[in-house]
Amino acid sequence: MKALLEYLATSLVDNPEAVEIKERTGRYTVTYQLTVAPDETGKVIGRSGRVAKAIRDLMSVAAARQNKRVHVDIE
Amino acid sequence: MKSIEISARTVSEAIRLALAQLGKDRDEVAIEVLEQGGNGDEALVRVTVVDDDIDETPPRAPSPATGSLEQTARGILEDILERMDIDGYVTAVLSTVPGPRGEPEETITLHIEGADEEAMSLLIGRRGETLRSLQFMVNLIVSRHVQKWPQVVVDVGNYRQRRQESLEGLARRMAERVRQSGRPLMLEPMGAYERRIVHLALRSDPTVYTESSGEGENRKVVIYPAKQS
Repeated sequence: MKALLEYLATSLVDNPEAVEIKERTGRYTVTYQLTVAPDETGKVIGRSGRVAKAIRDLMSVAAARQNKRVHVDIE
Repeated sequence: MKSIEISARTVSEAIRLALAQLGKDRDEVAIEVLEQGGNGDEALVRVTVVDDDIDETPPRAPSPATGSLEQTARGILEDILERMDIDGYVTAVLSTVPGPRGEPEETITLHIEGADEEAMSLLIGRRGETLRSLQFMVNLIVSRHVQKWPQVVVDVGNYRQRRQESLEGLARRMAERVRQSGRPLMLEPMGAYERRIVHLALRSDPTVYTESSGEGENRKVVIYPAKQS
């Protein structure tokens, strides 16, 4: 799951070195905290959150494959 | 130039058979999808060997950039699927369709086929929502790679065509109801792409006309009885 988030985030920004992902695993839910360079947050959120929604939809598929739920926070 | 037509159960199966028969790689041929297949119909593709023989090469040979565009798109989708833990077989098909102003527009369609039905339906999601997100993401990443905005369509096991057929059927049935009752009828909210399918399905029907109303997520098609003149 983390590999997918990492791939998506680094593919969307100009400064992939600034991408940081923190992972918190609960019993059923995995929470990710995604941080990118401050001036690039817009690239992973998008107009009216379209990019963020796509990231979350795709992450849900990856989570469902492992019978888990996922939560993605974007800082 | 050598060209063969092959039919099979699915587009990607037909392409695989054609490539095997020709003994060529994907990047050595041009692929045209003649029939999408589905609903019991066979898919039909025409595969033409792109000859690099100087004498036979037409003056405006396909630019190498086009080929790499398809490969870039396919590679990105494969990267995503792999990280989702989904086994799928991706076929890229380049086609030219008339754009909104009638000018030709290149579209890359990425067909995903997989044996795991559960995984495939996860990719589609409720009413195709996940598939829309996947397509949006692939378009976004591809455009960052190639510095332009090609049109990339992502399809899973012919879902888009099946959905289109079911929407057209719905449109015709609802139009019939409007004709009989003489009263307008509002359909459920749909995305722009799906509303367009409904509008187009009823455009040639003189007994009704259609309009979209509502905002954003709530936008829906309304079918009206034709105005009496």
